[in-house]
Amino acid sequence: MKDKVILLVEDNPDDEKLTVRALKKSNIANEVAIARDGVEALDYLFCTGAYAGRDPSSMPALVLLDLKLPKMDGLEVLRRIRADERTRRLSIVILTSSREEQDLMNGYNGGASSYIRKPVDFTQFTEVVKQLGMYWLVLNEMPPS
Amino acid sequence: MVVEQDDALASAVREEPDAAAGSPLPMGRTAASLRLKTPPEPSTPPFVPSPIGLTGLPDTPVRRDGEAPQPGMAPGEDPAEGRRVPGAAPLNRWQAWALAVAMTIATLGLRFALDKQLGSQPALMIFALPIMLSAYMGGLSAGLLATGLSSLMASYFLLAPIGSFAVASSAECWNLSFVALAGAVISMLSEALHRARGRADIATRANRRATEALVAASSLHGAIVNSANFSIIATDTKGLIQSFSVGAEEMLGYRADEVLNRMTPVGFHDVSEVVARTAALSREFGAPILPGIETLIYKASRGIKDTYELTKVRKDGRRFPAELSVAPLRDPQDAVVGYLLIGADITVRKQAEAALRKNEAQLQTIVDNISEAVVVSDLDGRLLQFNRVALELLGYSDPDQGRRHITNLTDTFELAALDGTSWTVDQWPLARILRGEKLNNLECRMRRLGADWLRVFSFGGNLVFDASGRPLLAVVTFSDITERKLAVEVIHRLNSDLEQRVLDRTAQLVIANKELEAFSYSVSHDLRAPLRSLDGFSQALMEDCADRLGAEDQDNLRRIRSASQRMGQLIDDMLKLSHLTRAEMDRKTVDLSRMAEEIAEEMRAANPARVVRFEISEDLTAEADPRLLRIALTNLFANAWKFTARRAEALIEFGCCGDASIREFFVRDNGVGFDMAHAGKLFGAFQRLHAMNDFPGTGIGLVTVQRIVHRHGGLIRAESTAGAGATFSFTLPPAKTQQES
Repeated sequence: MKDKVILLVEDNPDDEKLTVRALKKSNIANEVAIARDGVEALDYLFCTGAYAGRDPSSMPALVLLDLKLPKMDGLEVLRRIRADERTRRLSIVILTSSREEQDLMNGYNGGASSYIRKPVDFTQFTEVVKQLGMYWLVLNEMPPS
Repeated sequence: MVVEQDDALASAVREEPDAAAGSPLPMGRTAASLRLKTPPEPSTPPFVPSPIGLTGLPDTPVRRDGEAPQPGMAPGEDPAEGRRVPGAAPLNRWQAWALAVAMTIATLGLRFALDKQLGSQPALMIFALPIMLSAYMGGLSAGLLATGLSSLMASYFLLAPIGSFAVASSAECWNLSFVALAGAVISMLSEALHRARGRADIATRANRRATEALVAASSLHGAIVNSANFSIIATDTKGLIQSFSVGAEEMLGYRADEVLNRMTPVGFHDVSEVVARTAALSREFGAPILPGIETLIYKASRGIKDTYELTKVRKDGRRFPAELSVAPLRDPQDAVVGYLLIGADITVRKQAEAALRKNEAQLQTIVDNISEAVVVSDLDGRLLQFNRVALELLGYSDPDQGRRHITNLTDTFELAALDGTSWTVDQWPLARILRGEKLNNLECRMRRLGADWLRVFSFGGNLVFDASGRPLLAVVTFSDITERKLAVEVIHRLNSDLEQRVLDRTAQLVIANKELEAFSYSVSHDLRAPLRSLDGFSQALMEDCADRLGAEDQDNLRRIRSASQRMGQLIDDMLKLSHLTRAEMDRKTVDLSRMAEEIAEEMRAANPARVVRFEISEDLTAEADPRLLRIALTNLFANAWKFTARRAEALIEFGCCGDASIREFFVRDNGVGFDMAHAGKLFGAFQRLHAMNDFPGTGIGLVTVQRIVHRHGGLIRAESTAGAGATFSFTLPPAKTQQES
């Protein structure tokens, strides 16, 4: 699993940098691909646009998806991912600031594998990311590709 | 003959007063009979004893001497004597004449039979026999017929020359003349005798009839005079009582022998009333009258029929209202010889009148005090009666102003439907009622012509029927509903305004809510992100440059992190609070005791180092949203937990006081408490009564509790003595029917 990519869909560069730092601190060595809006995320996954040359058989081991995104919001991205045969079984963890019930409900209804709220306290954040990696990349059995 | 009959009757009548004086009634009580003469016809109608008849009795018309006979009876048609004409001979005219002829012929026969004894003697005296007999039996005409026939027969058959009416000898002629003369005289005498006898017969019969009538009349008078219902008093001209009836004795309480010739009727009357009536009479007649018997008889003495009411006073002093009729008594020469005073006790009538008046007054008062106007009309549409409100509403100061026919009111009023369509008089409420309609709340606009007066009236009414179902009257009721109509209009307008305002406000609220949601979302997302950066990069700096940072640098970084985290907490609490306000309520029966136990257990588990004793009452329940209530209780417990931190033996109590209808739950601790002077700040957002270093917190907990309690329709209050603990009490509605406010 270590060669598998983690796709981080995040428009905030600070959050991107902190997340990457937290992943490193947690000794998760997987390559982290970054998509800075919803459209880019879908381009990456479906190898379109800027990612037309990417190998479509290589799907990320985990997608960390923010909800509030430019161009296309996270819930729409989630819907598209789940609607496509190639991506419907991906592990998608919503990683967001929001704790609005509506977002939670929409996230799970849209087929999110998990919903994590980013804590302000970086120590806690690091802990959350560490456990995420442990669970989704180590403990969780992926569906056969 | 007819004239004779009338004379006879008249003479019988003339005798009547004497006959009455000799009636069997006691003298003292028959004074009335001086005047109460019964007409002499045998067909006198039977007397009907009624009060009216009695008071009118003294005025019963009396036929006096020389007056015409009773009308309706033609002269000579005496119903009782039709065939036997009084004054005539026992035989009728033809019988008498036949008798005269027969007796004369028989006498002539007798003369011829005696021819031998008498020879040539004519013996004319023999004809005295038929003449006298004929005159006696048949009266004058028969006597004269016999005389004439006898003379002719004697001259023809007896006096020479026989067979001729001539008389030869002058002596015989004289003889015959004397016979004829004697016959005529006898006839006339006989006639006179007949007449005298006939007159005597009539007188006798008339006398008998008059006597019979007098007996009947006397017993009637006795019955009237002695009737107990009337006091009948006769006085002489000076007013001294001459006769005092049984009724008078009973009514006035005096015995006849106490008053006869001793008192005047004035003594039976109220003195002040007598004085007042005297004054009134003096004014009326312009003559000074002395109070006394004059007062009572003044009018009667002048031939004026006088009936009046006054108060009588009994011997025992009791008083009663009476009606008095006074009439003069006259002797046969029509001179006033005294007065008759007939009094009736009218107590019952007065009471009935008073009751009726009271009834009418009450009815009028009731009708006048009805808040609706009431107008009564006859079946032709003529307005008759108005109550007070009706007069006010129609603008009449006097009922007479309104006593007009409905068709005459069109020059005063105009009626129109509420939409302004004018009504013809046929469409007016009264016209409709008269046609048999029953009106109820018929609303219309009423305008007074020529005046700035327009009102809205509500009409009702119907016909009123008598017991047999015939319509009697029409009753119209109406009330001025102008103000009500205006008020209704205002209410309608206000309502529609209000509805519009509610719609507007709701729309604004929806927008505001949406904005709030967007704001919350934004806060949740965007406000926290920079805090994460502050905290995260401070941490990164501390980790990456730990060797290059001094102790103070590291402390500064820690402060940055601490502040960031606290702000994150504040944002979270604010969001929670906004959630509480918006979240749907889901009420059910909540076991508060169990919930409190669970919270206490969680708190002990989270802070195992603390020793806190919980005292939680059992079986506390309420109708509440369990999720919200758990938040509230948790906040209160956390508060108590926090402020008892410095107590060696911390105690947190949860209980309830009050009855079933208003129960007040409380969370009490023995912590530091607070100064009641600042109690007002307790439930304000982000308000804190303690320094952050002493007791950390965002100041949002009690606001949250208050909001939850309010959403349940309850109230919350806090009590404390600084240093001696605090008690937070809140009410929750017990019943399921309580609605969320």
